[in-house]
Amino acid sequence: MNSSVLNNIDQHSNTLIDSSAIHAQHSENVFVELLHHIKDSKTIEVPFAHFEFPPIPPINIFGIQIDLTITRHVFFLWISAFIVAIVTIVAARKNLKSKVPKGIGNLVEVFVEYIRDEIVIPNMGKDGIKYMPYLLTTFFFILVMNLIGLVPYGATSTSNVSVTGGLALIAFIMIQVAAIKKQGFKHYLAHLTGGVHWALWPIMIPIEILGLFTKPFALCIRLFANMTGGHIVIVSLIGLIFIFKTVWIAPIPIAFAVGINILELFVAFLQAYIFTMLTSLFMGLGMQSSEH
Amino acid sequence: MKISDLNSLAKAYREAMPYLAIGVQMAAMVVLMFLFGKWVDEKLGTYPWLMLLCILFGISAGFYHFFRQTSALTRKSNEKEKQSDENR
Repeated sequence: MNSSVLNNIDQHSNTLIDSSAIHAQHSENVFVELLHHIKDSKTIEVPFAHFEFPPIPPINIFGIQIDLTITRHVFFLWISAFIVAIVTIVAARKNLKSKVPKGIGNLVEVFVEYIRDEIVIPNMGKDGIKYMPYLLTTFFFILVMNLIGLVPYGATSTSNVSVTGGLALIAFIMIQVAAIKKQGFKHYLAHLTGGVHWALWPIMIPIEILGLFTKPFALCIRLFANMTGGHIVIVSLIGLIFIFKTVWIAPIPIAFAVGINILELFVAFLQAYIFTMLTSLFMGLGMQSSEH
Repeated sequence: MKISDLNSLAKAYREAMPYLAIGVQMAAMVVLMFLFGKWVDEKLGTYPWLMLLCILFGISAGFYHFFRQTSALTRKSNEKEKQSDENR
C-alpha cells in the first residue's frame, strides 16, 4: 500500500513537472514568434499576406560566404534613402523658388537651421559648415529609418547592428578626415603619440588608436540598443495578451504599448539628434586639438 | 510640449551627452579588448593569459581616455564661459 501511494505521488509530480515544462515552452514560443517582428528576415509583411524576396545565390569573397538576398531591413533602408532624397530635393527646389519658405520647405529648413546653429557651430566652429552635408544626411537618414519602424508593417533598419555599424564606420572615416584636413597628416600622426617621450610610444600608440575606434563603436551600440530595446518592450507588452490567453486583459497592455509608442516617437528624434551631435563633437575635438 | 521646452531639453542633452558618452566609451574599450584577447587566445591556444593582459590594457586605456576627455571638455566649457563673460 505504501509503495502504491508513493507511486501515485511520483506520477502526480511527474505530470506537474511535465505540464509546467510545456507551459514554459509555450510562453517561450510566443516570445520567439513575436521576436520575429524585430529580427531581420527575408520576407516583408503586407496587409493580409507575406511577400518573399527572390533568393540571390551567395557569393564567395576571400573564402567567406556572403548571402546577398534582400532582407526586410535592407528593403526599408532603401525606402528611407528614397524618401530622404525626394523630400530634401523637393524642399530645396521649393525654397529656391520662393523667398519665404512654406510647407515642406519650411519643415526641412527648421531642421537644417537648428543643426547648423545648435550642433555644428557650437561644436566645430565656422569650419564645420563644410561638413554640414554629411551631418545633415546622417540626421535625416537615421530619423527616417527610425520613424519608418513605427509605421504599421514597417521595420526599423537601425535595430540591425550591421546598419548602425555601417553608419558608425562612415562616422569614423569622417572624424579622421576632419582631423587630418585641419591638422595635416604629419600633425595627425604626431597626435597619435600623445606627446610623450619616445620610450613610452609602444604603450601610447595602441592606447590612442584604441581610443579612435571606441568612439564610433559606442555610437553604433547606442543607436542599435535604443531602437531594439523600445521595440522589444512593445512586443513584450503585446505578448502579455497571448500569455494570459484572454481578451479581457488586452486594454492594459495596449494602453501601455501606446504610451511606449509615443515615447518611441520621441526616441526616434532623440537618437538621430544624439548620433549627429556626437559625430560633430568628435569631429570638432579632432579639429581643435592642434590649437592647444 | 512647447517648442521652448524642446529647445531647453535639446540643450541639456548637448551639454550632458559628451560626459555620458565617456562612460560608454570606457566600458566599450574594456569589452572590445576582452573580445580581441579572447579571439587571439583561441587562435594561439594560450587561454586565458592574453585575454587577461588585453583586459588590463583596456582598463588602463579606458582610464587614460576618461581623464583626457574630461579635461578637454572642461577646458572647452571654461573657454565658452570666458567668452560669454567677455561678451557681457
